[in-house]
Amino acid sequence: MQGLKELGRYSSLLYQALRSSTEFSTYRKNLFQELVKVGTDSVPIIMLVGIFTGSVMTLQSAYQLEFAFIPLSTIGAIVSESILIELAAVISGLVLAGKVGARVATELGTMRVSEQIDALESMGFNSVSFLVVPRVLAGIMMFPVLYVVASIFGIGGGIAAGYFSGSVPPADFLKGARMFFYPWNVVFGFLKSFVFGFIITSIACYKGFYARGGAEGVGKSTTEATVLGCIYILLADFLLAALLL
Amino acid sequence: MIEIKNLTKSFGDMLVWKDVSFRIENGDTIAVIGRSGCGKSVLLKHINALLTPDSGEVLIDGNNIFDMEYVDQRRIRQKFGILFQGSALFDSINTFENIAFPLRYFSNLTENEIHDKVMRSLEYVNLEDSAQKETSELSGGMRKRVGLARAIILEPEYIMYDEPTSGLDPETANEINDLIILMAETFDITSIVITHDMHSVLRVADKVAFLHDQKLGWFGTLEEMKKSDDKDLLNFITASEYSIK
Amino acid sequence: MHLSNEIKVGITVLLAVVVAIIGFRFMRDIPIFRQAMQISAVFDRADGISNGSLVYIKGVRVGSVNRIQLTEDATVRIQMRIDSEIPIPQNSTANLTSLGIVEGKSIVIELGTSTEFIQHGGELQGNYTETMMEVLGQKGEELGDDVSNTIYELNLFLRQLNETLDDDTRATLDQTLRSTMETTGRIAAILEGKQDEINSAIDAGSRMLGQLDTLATDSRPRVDSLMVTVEQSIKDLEEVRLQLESATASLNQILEKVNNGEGTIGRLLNDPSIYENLDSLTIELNNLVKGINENPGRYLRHMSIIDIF
Repeated sequence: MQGLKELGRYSSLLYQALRSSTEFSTYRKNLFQELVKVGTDSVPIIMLVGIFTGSVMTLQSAYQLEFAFIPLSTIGAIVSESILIELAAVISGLVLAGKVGARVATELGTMRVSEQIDALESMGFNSVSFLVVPRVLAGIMMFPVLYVVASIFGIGGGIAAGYFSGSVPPADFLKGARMFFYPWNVVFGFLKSFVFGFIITSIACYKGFYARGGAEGVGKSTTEATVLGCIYILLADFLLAALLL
Repeated sequence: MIEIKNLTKSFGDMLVWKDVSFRIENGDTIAVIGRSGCGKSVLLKHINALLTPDSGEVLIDGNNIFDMEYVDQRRIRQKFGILFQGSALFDSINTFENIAFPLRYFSNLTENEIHDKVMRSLEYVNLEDSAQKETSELSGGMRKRVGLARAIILEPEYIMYDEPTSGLDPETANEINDLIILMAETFDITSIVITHDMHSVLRVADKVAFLHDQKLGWFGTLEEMKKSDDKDLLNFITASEYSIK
Repeated sequence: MHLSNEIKVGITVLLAVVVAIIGFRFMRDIPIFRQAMQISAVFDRADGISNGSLVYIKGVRVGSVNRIQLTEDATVRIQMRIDSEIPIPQNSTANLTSLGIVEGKSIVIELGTSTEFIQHGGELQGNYTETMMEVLGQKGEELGDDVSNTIYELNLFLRQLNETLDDDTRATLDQTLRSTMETTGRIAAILEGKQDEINSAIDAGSRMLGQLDTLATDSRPRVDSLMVTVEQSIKDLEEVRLQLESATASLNQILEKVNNGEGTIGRLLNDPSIYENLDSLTIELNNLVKGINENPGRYLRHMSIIDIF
């Protein structure tokens, strides 16, 4: 029952957001602010995540395939394909569930419990349009951008790790990566990051928007936003793979 | 003129109050008093439809605000200025921008006109010097005054104060009380003051609404209150450290 | 320098788009900054070609296939991206073929001699070339049919011969046998003439085996399927061999009977009409053999099995 009620409130918040997404002038300024916070400010951490994901995958694949009679280019194929189709979107999604999801939930939660949302409403603002719409839009617009960053740095990290460890020459890595490069994988990765962006920001907005009970309540909704964000990312990842592959 | 008719509200199974009815004439200053947790703030949030009742009506100039479309509700809300309990200043922007905030979205004023208007508003509350301060640098009393400056910036017909003197030292509380009177006289504003501070009630109120035992316990003018022999009302008044005798 | 949020977002998105496009083209091995030339060619069929199949000129990779579509008149239009700078003459042909025995299909452009060069969006003449394996497979099938046909007809012929021999004279038979021997001699001569072709077929076979030896592990499944086909062929051939054996046995039997002068031979000696028939048959058989000698292709189509073995 509680779950159904939550689902209902979540859906109606999204419905309100959808309806008020036409009030562009209300959230235009906030949108750009959020695009920077969600997108531009997340670029460094995503670069870091990408580089380490790619390099760790390369080293470990090389280690695992050391004694098998498998061409070295296979490692490039494994690493780049895994990154493009899965890791770039999912790992950055999980990281951003922490970074973006927590920030959004805390921001909105604090605004709720300190009556700032009521203040906005009392001034005649549509608080959903003002607060929720730009955050969700920023999520679905910037996550694909961050997917690109994660992919590029992931594959770059893989090549670099292979080169510096001496396990996979860049030429072999690239040969494998190119041999198994299917544009559909990239489209699929984009789609995933788009969905993840929506999931993280909408759940965080929901949890923050309906936070109650002072500082403790804000903490609780932040935790829930992060945890639920991660869970639903994994769930969505599974569903997308089951439906589209 | 605001007419509250048979308002009933409960959160889940918990009844807040039922059948609350009274009338606020233009130009009046009404004090809503009652014990902490008796639903004074909840009542205030019904008057401009921040909350929706289980049943009953709030008529603003004869129109029930709960029958309106959201867009019209928002237009009605702009007739109200609210000073929230915790001031509800937006902590992401400075003092000046907090006050200018509604103007930027709801007026077509130029930057100069906005500046003049904000500074005039700050003059009323004697905070011209703090315009460029961050809200976190302000003391509790200053925050209330900035909140008041923001509440009057759109030149509302009604102004609602939620616990304006709570948490302030007596001297600062008196300054706020003086401001409430100043606002009412200067702008011929109808005021609704939520408070349990009898000192404040005696200084500012024309009429008093007493919420008690999940209903409207008593309603009348200040003079009537002084002569009233209602037991619950007397208990509440005499519990205060200020005696009316 | 203070940048507005709009500019920050703009920079981020722009960089991401640029990086994404460059990365995409890099991964697909497309020149990053230059628009590649698109040309197309129409083929009867496009077995084995897929998006990304490579395009060669004189054994050098120059591009890849990026679109395959069936046209309205049931041909296949293949669009290729040519990354090389070299000009391709207007009358060049695009051959859809396989470079090695187990390689995938690719398109090989044979440069023409024209001084006019093909432009972006131009069209080459396409040629579907059957690969060695396809030819082998097809030929094997045809051969199987041919051989069983031949055997059948040979059997028929032998049965008729058997009947005919019932009422013929020994002298005529002698003559017949001599004519037959002559025929055999001529056939042997024909075979000798074809010796070179047989040798080259054997050579091709051993080359093929050599290539099979060098197969990479990743071609394993294709080799397997190839082996199945080959096994099937061998089985077919085994059948042929058995039938040939039984035919030979029948022939031996007949010859033995004739040598012993048994059964029907007596009657053969006493019936002049049969003799006359056989005589005229012999003449015709001679004519036939002469004909075969002059134009072996016309008569010995079914004997082409000998070319192979």
